[in-house]
Amino acid sequence: MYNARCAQTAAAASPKAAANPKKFEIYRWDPDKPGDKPRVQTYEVDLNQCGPMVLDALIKIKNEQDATLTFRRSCREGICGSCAMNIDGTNTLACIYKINSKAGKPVKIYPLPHMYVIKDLVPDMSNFYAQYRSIEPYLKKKDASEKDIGKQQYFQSVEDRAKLDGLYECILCACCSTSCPSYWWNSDKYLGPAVLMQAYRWMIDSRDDYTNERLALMEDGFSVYRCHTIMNCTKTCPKGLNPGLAIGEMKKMLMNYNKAAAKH
Amino acid sequence: MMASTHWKVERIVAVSMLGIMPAALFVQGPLMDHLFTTFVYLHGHWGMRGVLTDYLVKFVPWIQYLWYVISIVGFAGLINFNVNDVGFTKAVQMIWSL
Repeated sequence: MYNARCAQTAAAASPKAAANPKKFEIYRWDPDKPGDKPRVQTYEVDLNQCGPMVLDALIKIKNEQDATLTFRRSCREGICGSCAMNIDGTNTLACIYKINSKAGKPVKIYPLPHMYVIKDLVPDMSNFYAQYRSIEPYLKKKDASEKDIGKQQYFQSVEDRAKLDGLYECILCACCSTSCPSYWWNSDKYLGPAVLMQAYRWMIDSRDDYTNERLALMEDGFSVYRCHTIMNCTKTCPKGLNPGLAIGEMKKMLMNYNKAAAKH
Repeated sequence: MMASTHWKVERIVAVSMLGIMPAALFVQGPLMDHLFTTFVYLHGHWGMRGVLTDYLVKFVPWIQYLWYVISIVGFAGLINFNVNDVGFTKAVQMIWSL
């Protein structure tokens, strides 16, 4: 039964192989301990008894060494975005990021940078989600009321649908936003790459009627214009998307849109 | 001015500098003096203001007004230099002929 239960994190290699120890240096902070200071704790894992990804090692540590180690995880296949964290200096998903193979080099794991930490590797995402909510990330129609919902499909040409490729795949893991220096300094007012890319995704959706209003939402010095095309967002995205390009396209749209129409 | 209009003007100024800078090598005179100093100065002013907005205004709000004062005084000095002295393009020529 034990083998069945641990099958997910079991090693692919033969269990008879020699031990291959790897050090994991993990950020720890417990809010329930009064006066606790953040620290880095080192764990050792035998890679021959562990799956290839960083999340495999984290689960193995939590199961076998230290049950107090706290982190978010869910799908373990890079589609939910729960296990976003900073591994070896890169914001990425622990479940699809391989444990580095350099002998003697420890794996360093920290929470997403410049976020409030709830515990260990768990950051507070409330601000990020509130910002996402503020861009109204859903289809909005003019001349349609509640009772029209479900009456007919809104068709889209193949070309219009293709415009959404590379945008809709975003899983909102916040790896990009938390890699952005502008977001570090001004996350109270700057929306950040993840949210801006979704704002752009709705602006260019051919079925949405509120493009001008959505653009008018960006009319202040902070929401979008704190982006200085640093491009950390695109470099770090674990899904290979390009938020930097989306923000650039949005700035181009902002140069020439119907400001009068947005007022109604 | 709306933020998007401001951004557009900033880009127009930045792109036209690509033309103005080499043009100043061939055409000198009061018009070029003022054109050159205005565009370069605006570009620098906005650049610095961006840095202040990113890092400082949140903590030291008055710094943006100080920056306006410094910019206006500096720009007045440049206009004065262009009107009452040899002018910017001539001054650069003089530096190179030393």
